Amino acid sequence: MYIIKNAIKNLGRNKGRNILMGILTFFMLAVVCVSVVIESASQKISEAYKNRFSVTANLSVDYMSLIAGSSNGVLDIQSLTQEDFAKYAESKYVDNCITFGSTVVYAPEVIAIGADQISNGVGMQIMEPDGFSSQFYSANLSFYGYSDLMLLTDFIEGNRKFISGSVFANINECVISSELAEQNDLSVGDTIEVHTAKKENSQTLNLTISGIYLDAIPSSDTNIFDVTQNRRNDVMVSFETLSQLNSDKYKIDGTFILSDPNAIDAFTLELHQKGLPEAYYVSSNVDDYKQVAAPAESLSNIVQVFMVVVLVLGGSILLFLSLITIRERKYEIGILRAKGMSKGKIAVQFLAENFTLILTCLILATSVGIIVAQPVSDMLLKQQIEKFEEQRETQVDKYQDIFASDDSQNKAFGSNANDLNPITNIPVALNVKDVLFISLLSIALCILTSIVGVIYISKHEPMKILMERS
Amino acid sequence: MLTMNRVTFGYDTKKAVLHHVSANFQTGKVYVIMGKSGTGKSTLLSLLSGLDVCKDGEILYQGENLAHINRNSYRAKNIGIVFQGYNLLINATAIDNVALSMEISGKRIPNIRQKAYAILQNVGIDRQMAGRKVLKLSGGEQQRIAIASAIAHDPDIVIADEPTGNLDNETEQEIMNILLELAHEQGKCVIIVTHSKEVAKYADELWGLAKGNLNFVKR
Repeated sequence: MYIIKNAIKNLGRNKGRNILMGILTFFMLAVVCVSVVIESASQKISEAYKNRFSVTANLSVDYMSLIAGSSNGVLDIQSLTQEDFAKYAESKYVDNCITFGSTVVYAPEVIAIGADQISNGVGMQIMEPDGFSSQFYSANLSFYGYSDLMLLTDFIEGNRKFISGSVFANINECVISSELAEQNDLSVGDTIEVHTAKKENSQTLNLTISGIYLDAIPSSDTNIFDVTQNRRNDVMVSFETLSQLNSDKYKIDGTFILSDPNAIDAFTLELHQKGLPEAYYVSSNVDDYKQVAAPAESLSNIVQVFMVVVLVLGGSILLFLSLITIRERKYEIGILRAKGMSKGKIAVQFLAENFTLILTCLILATSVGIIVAQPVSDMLLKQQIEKFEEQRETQVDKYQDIFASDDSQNKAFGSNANDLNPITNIPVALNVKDVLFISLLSIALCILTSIVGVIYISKHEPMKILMERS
Repeated sequence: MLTMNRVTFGYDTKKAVLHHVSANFQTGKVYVIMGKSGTGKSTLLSLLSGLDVCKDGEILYQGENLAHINRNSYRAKNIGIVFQGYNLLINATAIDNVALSMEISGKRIPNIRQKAYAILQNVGIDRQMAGRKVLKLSGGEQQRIAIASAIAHDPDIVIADEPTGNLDNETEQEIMNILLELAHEQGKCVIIVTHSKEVAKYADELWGLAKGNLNFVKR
């Protein structure tokens, strides 16, 4: 008990030294406290964005490099199959894979919208390289299969709305437009028969209409020779329904939902290792994520670096101060040893002194840290957002120059930028984990500042110390 | 009480500072060991107080070899050391220095601070002075505090290394009176290491230390 009492008294006896060490320790711990609080909050927000944000990856053909690499002008594009997507979806980075297939079909009993404008009343002639159109039915409907309802963007965005029935829920159910239903006197529950376009080995599906929708977007009449281009002739089914057809009869595309926004590169590499043709590249919306989460992540990095710098610098100064003060304290060690105090007890006294000093600093620093963490966080975040906005404006200008003649591209880019909801506020608070971290750090500081004294105690004999003094 | 049997000690193996030293120290007496600088006086003090351990021979305290007992405890309970340079905690008060000796001893001493004041008063330090930092006191006052600190835990043996080395004649007289009183009235074994002939006059037994040998001079 007297050891602790003496340790506390010693703090008062050596005011100058302890005030200096106290100020330094207080400053360090206050910085660490603020940094930890901000860093923890930033990470939480990044994590929340990560969870909230669906990182999607799509496989696209890189036409530019294909054209550049083609010597005869023929683009050799290898189609991807359902099996390919299934194989890619097995990646550990993939949470989910949404597939979408499309083809054109021939429905003999259905008169397509716009078919009356074509002389023979038929739609597009599917052509193969051999060029014999007699081998094909005249397709009159576009046939789409979706593995997930989130792909039905027109419905989500309100461009299409069910006026009767509902979306397909079972295999061989389909939805059609109100115009197509009206023209052919079809209603929910009726069936339509569709054939794949190639007559040889043609496959047939009997589809039950589960829903009829109203399409708010005007149909395009630019291609009067191909009724399948008309939006009103779209027939939508589940991917399960579509995949009853042989895979060579439809085109497939897919979207991968990734578990981690930072896994894009690794995922791309894995896909190419699994056989994804070089002509394909992986596009993703990860830039959107980065744009949104950038301020928080950047702030987190800044405070981490700042904290490490302060700790290293402060720790070095504390160690240096300990080295200096040990010259003064070695005399004290000699006296206490001569009085019969064991090395262990002296070490405990030194530790108790430093612990008391650091505990006091910790309480003060934590209090100050909590108070200033929010304003400091807001200030740093404001700077980050300003920097981020500057960068984004530069980027927008660059893209507007490139796509100046194409309104859709500008619109797409603009909408992306406007839809972003960057972090504007980081609510900071000290949690148990942070307190534990700061406390452990304080213990480390306590050991660091005591270690010089402890080493000195263990190495030097009291008589030698006292004789040196004399 | 404290016996040295053929003690040989050196800081390096080639040259012994003390060579086959034997002596016996009893309670109630003042022993003065005289010797010039570098003759091993401080080494002898160091060995007797258990700060060093002899390599040859033995030092027995009440029949127990110091090499085999807990020397920290031996020093804390049974030995009081008065150094020439006082060796006090200079930033602490006089009372704290004295009280600390009692606390380190581990002995059950009730009302430590009251007792410390009383001890200080016995060596001529009043309460007001006792509350001041050692650093602010004179050499004579510091030496009195050093003696108070050395005897505060009621040790059997008081070892003093040049206790009057830095003091004027009047103060020297006062300090020696305190040490004599400790031996003759309180029954302590007081061992003084010095080169002062004046101090030697107070000896109950005078020993001379030269060339590593301790020789009895007079009683």
